[in-house]
Amino acid sequence: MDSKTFIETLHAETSVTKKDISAILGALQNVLGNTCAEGDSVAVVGFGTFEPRKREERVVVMPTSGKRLLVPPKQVITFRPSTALRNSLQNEETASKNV
Amino acid sequence: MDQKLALTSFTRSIADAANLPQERVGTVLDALFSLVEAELIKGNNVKVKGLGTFKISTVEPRETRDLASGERITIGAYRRVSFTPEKALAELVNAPFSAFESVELSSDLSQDELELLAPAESAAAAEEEPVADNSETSYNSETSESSESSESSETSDNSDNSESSNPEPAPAVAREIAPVEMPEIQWAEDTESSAAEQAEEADSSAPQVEAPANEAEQAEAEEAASETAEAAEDTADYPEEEEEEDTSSAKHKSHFWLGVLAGVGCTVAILLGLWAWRYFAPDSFTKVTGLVTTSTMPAPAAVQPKATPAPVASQKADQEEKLKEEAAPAVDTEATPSATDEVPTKPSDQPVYDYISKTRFLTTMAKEHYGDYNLWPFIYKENEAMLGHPDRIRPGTKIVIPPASKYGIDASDPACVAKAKKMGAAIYSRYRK
Repeated sequence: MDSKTFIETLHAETSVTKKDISAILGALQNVLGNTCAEGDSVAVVGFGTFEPRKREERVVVMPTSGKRLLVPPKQVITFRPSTALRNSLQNEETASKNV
Repeated sequence: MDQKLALTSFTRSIADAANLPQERVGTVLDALFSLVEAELIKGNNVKVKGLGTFKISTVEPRETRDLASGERITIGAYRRVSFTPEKALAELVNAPFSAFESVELSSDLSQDELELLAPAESAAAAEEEPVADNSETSYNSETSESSESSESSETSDNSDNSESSNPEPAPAVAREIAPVEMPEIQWAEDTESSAAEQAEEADSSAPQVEAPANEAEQAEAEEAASETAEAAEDTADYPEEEEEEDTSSAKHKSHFWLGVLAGVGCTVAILLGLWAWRYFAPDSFTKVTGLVTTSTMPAPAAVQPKATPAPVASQKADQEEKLKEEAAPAVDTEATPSATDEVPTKPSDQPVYDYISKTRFLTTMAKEHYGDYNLWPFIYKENEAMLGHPDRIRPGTKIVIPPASKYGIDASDPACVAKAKKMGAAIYSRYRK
């Protein structure tokens, strides 16, 4: 499902104008971005947590030029699904031996 | 920092930003995430504007051993969610590090960079997920990474292997593992000596060895490459060396020897300074260190007669005041022990010096100059300022022998001897703690 369809579906369900939905999504992006930039996670109940993670600097080789680069450290946002979400995603036909 | 905050705590701020009532915002957010979940369960990926893409993928069943029992089990297939943030969000999150840029490195690897390279191999395989601007799923990149590493370890000379195993348009990021292998290969091709090349081939064609071994090989390869200009023979030696030893670069080795040289130079300088001091200002030197300046010194200074040591027998024969005068001539012919020179003694009203040595004590001097070794406290008193414990005077210490008349020293006078004994006891008691 792409963004357009997504917003449309949301609009259909909540009867909030698409413009407003976009605004909310924009604000949500800011909330997530700023909170994670400061090192805090954002938890959505029943869905999962958006966490910041630090990636250390590393040396890589450009395959094209063969030169070595030092990639600086950075912070990325990751998503950890909650148990509820994980369980609902499981294919119930195939019984998994590990819980 | 490191806090876990609920999204509900932000509804207020979102509502303010979007200019909507809080309740509405709450409804929309709930609907939002429910919709994502529903779509994921259906098996569709969902792209949410402002956030990113949620993808669903299936993990194949795999066989492992149960951790507790150790028997073989199969972990069943399951579905997994992954999230890739969109660019704007990723940039927001990376704000603290936004000032940095990638920097090109010089061809010499320092120890730190080598270490950075090695963990890049294992860490990248273990846990790292793709970077934001990479549109692959973590699952895909993991499989491609592991296939890359296995493939590159098998075929060493093929520098195209990284490209063939990873057909997707992944930039440098996904090539961490393969490129790390590549310097080994590339440098190996560059080196002139075939021995190095063959050794590299043999090494890297073995099954993927542990990181330290790899790192050491790499260090050797890098080092070899940087020195090809100078001596091709050197590179032949490197692969044969022990793995543990040669991880430091030539730069570090020369730094070490520079340090050693500096230390030696400092020591020499200090010793020279001490000698010069001794040479030019022997008195102050002696005062400070207590080391006597022996006959190597040309300094005239005061009179430095050295009393001649004499056997006890001749001493006994000369029991008078102003012994020195008598003692010297009579003793001249006697045998002399080690250490001191023979110098004619001066008249008693001039200061007389003597030197402590391992065989000459205050008592010895008292015996010689005054005739009774019990009279040593007078000598001690004369030199009180300079001496500490009377039994522990450094050999070579210059002692002033006071003329007998100064303290009324008279060996034949029992009162004087008794007084000396008392003085001695007092001196010792001072040091008995």
